Amino acid sequence: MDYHIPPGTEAIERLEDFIVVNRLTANTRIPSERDLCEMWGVSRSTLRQAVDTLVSWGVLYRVRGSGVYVAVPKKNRNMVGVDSMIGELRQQGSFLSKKIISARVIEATKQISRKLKIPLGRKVHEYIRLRKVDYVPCILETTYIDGQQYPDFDEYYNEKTSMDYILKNIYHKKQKSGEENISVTYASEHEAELFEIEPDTPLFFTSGVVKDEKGVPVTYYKQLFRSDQFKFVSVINKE
Amino acid sequence: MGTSLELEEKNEGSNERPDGELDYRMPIYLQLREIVRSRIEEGEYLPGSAIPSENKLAETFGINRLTVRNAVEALVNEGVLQRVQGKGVFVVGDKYEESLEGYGGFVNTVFPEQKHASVKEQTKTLRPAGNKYANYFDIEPDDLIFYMRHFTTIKGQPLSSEEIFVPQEVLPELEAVNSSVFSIKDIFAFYGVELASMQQTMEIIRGLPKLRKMLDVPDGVALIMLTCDHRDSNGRVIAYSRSFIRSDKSSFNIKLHS
Repeated sequence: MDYHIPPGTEAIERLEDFIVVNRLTANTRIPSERDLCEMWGVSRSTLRQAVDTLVSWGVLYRVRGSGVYVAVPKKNRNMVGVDSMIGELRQQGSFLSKKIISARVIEATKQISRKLKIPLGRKVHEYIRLRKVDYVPCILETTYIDGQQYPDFDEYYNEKTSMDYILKNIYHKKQKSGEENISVTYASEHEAELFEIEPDTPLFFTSGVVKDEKGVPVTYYKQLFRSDQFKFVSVINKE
Repeated sequence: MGTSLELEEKNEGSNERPDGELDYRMPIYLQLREIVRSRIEEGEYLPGSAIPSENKLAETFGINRLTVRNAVEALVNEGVLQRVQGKGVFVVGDKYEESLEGYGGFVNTVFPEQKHASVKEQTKTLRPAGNKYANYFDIEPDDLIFYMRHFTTIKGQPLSSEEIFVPQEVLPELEAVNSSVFSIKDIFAFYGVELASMQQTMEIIRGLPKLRKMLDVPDGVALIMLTCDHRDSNGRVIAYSRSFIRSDKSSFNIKLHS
């Protein structure tokens, strides 16, 4: 039997392999479509389809009138633990900074009271922060913390301190487990402005609750991630 | 690929086998149940593949279809067989004791619980690895790999399109297995292929017009691209999958630990 790879698929895989084998780094221009067609003996339309596919997957990008370039890899948001996102990103060599957009005390809404398992109307701290990763605004994060279990939280938390550090060292609270929901949303006018992107651009939307070792909720959070800057990665190991 | 045909032929040939004979002093459905069980144990009916239809079994043994149904139902209740609407009855193999999901991983909360989801195996072929997958799986470019494509719908509405790549040498039996009924993880477990780790990557993409049309994606709605490397304990990749999922029909859940 004669086994073969369909030409369209083969062109995509050749192009992917070409980038890897030649160790083409981000923002390197790949050879012209004409040169690649000649090199691989494929038609112009087949090659264009392959380039289009890799552009749509975020592997390549086009610059009008200039050519096709290797895209900057997205940053990994490694789903390793409940309290390590920031540390993880630093480990990847990223420079992080945050700006507190809003800090206030509110009364727990139905949703907040359900998530934090506290009575309706209880005072909670709400913090909205915009995080920049390598100077690019990427993450918009809203966190709710019970004001009764964590009194004076606002005395400790500011742009120079970290929530994880305060919880661990001032309140001696372990963040043990969590569950997160991930879906896709689209940037509102306001979010688009903060992220410096077009409105309606797709974003990762996550929400979750972090619990201590007894299963008591510690924080309830919602995050938006720019999808052109981030991919979510989860490694599952059998013990 | 003529999978079901092969099985039926095997079945006919086995009429002369001692275990294929019925003893009329015992309840017939119990006897058939034990025949089917031994054929599974002896590897005649492969895990992940369909057993012959109830009509076929009734004809082969010259018994009532209702009796066949009782025998099959008993094994379904034991979890040895699994009935799949519109597809037949499938042999379930041994599963790994610890489910990998317990350790994290993105779980589509819309899809697995959806009773109405229907997965169709659109393609299953062998193809040469080519340079990309040769490097990826650490095999030769001329070595063969299975390529499978699944299309999932919920109540007739497109949800996702998934492609799976598995080197032939990793699991030659894949030829006989209907990959749309069981996950590749379960199929590996059935055949004792060791799966030590999986790495899932989730990205948001727009998708080309052709893909968007196939999934009937409304304007302005993004797609989720979910890829997964499956590795053995030596860190070698033994399967790769790539799914395109409608984001307006999905939400994922992940458990995290400190």
